[in-house]
Amino acid sequence: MRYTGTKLWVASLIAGTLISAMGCSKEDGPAQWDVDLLAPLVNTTFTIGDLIDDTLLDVSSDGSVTLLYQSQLFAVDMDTVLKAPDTTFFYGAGLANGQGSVNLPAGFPFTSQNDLTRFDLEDLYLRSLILREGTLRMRLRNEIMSAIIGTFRLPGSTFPDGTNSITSEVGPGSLSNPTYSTQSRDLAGSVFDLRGPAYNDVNTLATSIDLLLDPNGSGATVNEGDSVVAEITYSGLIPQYAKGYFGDRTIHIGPEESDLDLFANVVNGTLDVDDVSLKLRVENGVGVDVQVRLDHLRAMNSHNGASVDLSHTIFQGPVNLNRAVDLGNGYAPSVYTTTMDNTDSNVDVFLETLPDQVTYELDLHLNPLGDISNGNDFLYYDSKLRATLELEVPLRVIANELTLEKILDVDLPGTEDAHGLQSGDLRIFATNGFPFSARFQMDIVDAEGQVVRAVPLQGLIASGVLGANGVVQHSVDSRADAQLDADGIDLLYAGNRLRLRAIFNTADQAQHVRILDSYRMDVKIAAGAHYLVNGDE
Amino acid sequence: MSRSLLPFLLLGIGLDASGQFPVLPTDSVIDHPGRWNHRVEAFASFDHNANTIYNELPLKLLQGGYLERELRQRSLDAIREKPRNSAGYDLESRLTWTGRDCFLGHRNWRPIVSIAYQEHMGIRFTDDLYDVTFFGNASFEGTRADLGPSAYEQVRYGSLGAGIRDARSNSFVRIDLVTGRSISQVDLKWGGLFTGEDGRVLRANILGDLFQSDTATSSLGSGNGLGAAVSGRWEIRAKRKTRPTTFAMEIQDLGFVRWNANAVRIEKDTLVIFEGFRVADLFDLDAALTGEAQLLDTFGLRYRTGGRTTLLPFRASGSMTMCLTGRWNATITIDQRNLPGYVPMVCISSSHRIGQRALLAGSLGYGGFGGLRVGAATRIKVGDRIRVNIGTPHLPGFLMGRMRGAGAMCGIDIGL
Repeated sequence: MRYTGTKLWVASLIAGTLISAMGCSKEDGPAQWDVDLLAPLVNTTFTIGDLIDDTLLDVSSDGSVTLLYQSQLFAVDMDTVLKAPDTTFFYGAGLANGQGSVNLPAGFPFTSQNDLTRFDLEDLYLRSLILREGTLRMRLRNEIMSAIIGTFRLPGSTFPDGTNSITSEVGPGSLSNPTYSTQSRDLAGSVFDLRGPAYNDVNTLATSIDLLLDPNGSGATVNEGDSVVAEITYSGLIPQYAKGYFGDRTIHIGPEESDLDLFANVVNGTLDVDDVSLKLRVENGVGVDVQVRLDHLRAMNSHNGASVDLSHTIFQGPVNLNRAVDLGNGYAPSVYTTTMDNTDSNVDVFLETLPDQVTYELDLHLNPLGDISNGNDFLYYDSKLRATLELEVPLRVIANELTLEKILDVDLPGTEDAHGLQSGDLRIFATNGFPFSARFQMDIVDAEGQVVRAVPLQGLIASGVLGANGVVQHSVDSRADAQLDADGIDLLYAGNRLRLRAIFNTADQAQHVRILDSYRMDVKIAAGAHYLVNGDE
Repeated sequence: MSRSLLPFLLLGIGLDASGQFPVLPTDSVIDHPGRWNHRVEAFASFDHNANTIYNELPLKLLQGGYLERELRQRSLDAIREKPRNSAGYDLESRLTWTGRDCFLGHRNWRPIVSIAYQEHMGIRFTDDLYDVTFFGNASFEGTRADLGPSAYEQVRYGSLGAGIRDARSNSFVRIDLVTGRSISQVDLKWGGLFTGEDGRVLRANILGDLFQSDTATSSLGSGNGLGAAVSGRWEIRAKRKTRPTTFAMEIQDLGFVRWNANAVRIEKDTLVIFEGFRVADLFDLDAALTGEAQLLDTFGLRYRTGGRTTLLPFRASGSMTMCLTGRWNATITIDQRNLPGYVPMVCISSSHRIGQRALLAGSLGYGGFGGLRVGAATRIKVGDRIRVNIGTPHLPGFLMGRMRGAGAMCGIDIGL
């Protein structure tokens, strides 16, 4: 009986051990547990240079900051003035129907032609042209029972290697079975005299073509209808330099739009500036007199749809631009500038629109006085007629709900299905020495930027304390907290993004506040996280 | 069999290898010592012990899945009540062949060949280390978490050895070739983590080092190190006419492993103050959320590689066994293992033969990785040649909830 009891005890122990061992299998994956973590995340010192690129700021001796911003308004390229379309000319010879047959010996010149090629350049009257790019192609079609050697010459031109001809040979062919050959050459660097053989013409190129039977062949019998044709094609012509008379004509530009990145991150609010000056600088790099008529210059805010047309006397009459000066291997542009400010324009309102785009429309009248250069208008490859805006804004502002935005692609560890980060909070601590307050807003947005979920965020970064002179006397400590709950975290893992907005209001909404270079805001962000250990896949 | 030989045979040859399990001494009736020319012993054991952490925690860690907060809290409450925390486990499987006598001309010397796989882990840790690990550092806001002194070592190795055993005294010596599978060593002599108010700063004082063998090849079949070890036992009998008493000193796996050059280590004696990643732009949170490399650099957690020689987790023990009657024996053992958190363990065992085929033993132990333990073991004779041993160093670990420590062993001894 005692022995039986022992066996039962032993059996129980073995069974217990086995059950325990079986229980050790990790059916549920690795062990996981949640922990609450608290750690600093980032710290930064925020200066006016972070809000506006340092290169755009000018600091005076008293520390006042002026925004100097330059942006190209428009640029009219050379191809607007001069377009050289692809052009093909045909040269040929043959025996007309009814002329029977003719036996021609080897080396017989089937045809030899001197010709003038006229380029159709509309209102342009070019006398000389140097090409930057281009191709000359000669394609021969032969219906004669002898090889043909074709040579195309440009007597008034010089290729970079000093020659001016292109030669190609095509094998024997027939009317029913013609043969073809093609020969091309790069025209980059080629110089063309477009005055023709008498040097008194324009847009005209002297050419000659010789088609002769192969001197080493045995000649051929040419029947009526047989012919040899040379197809000469000029393609992809891009001038490096052109000279002539560019015509008395008007080119209409626009309406076109130009991006303005100064306020690219500003999505809402108003900015009241105290003083603005805007310099319009127009540079003429083309050797032609130009009269510019500005139709409009419009500030566009794509976020709120607001637009303001700039008003100034410049829009009432033409702007006359002198021609550039040809230096032989380059040019000296002529420059026209005019400055607008609050007193003679609405440039402050124009700027306070916080434009991210500027639209414009204008007419360029070339040679308004006719051919006063006697055919010496010129342009270089990089000649441009361009206008730039130079904005000068002393930073004395009133900001009201001025909202900066950035959308972050948050790359978190783990996957949508398995991630350790469960929820968290961001604690924003700021010591603000700026004369404006900042309020933060966080939203989870989808790929189209639509808000999927707002992240609760409490607290305001208070403005620095202003003294009687309108300058910040004391920095102020503040705190703001953002809560990211489990649903919010899941949304971020689902591929959505985090939109961060900072909303600024100047301390004094009644008068403009001066921004000094010495202003600082120290920001520290700590994060609390509810984290599942081994939760990341 | 002469009664004078009895005391020499009282000490077992398998189960007394571990001081944690109740001693089942060699019994003349059940074991028939000296009867077999050859013996093959297979033995496997697992023994986990802890002095503060409840079994439910490591069990759940092994099982996987979510560890309930209450479960973790129960161990934390226990940890806070005691001045010292340690835990560890030993896992061993061994196959031993003992040959016939007359080895090298000595009548009582028997050859032994033994192959084994072992895994040992020991850890001692501070209360705060457990707290930070299982609950995070948020609760230490504005205070310092003392993470050290703490130490951890987990080592896995296999061995193949040969030696001789004295049939009269069971004294033996064995030389083993050791193949190191893996090792992880952390010795945090001092470590403090101060979490600033609202998490605005982390300040860490660290004095310690980490060593880990090549993690790319730590599977069972691969080796990351090579070494040697010696094991031996020296046993003498006190000359007494009544209640024969035997004294024994034993050392197991006194040796080393030279880990290969792919092993990695970090040695730190530094103060780190972290106030967040410095960013140029307030909106530049992207880098802060993904800057793992930056984090490693900030805290100086870049590894360097290189070989290292480490001692094996050897065990030294001494024991005294007294034969009380023909059926009753008593043994007191004291042992120490070279593992962090292990303190000298004292174990008192008593065995009793039941009938002709069963030997029962019970034990009472204190020390090691844990506290008080009550163990039980038995040896059953099956047929004439086979003996089966099973036991546990801590019976309540199986029978009662929320205990600390559990283990089991089983073995078979075949006479040929």
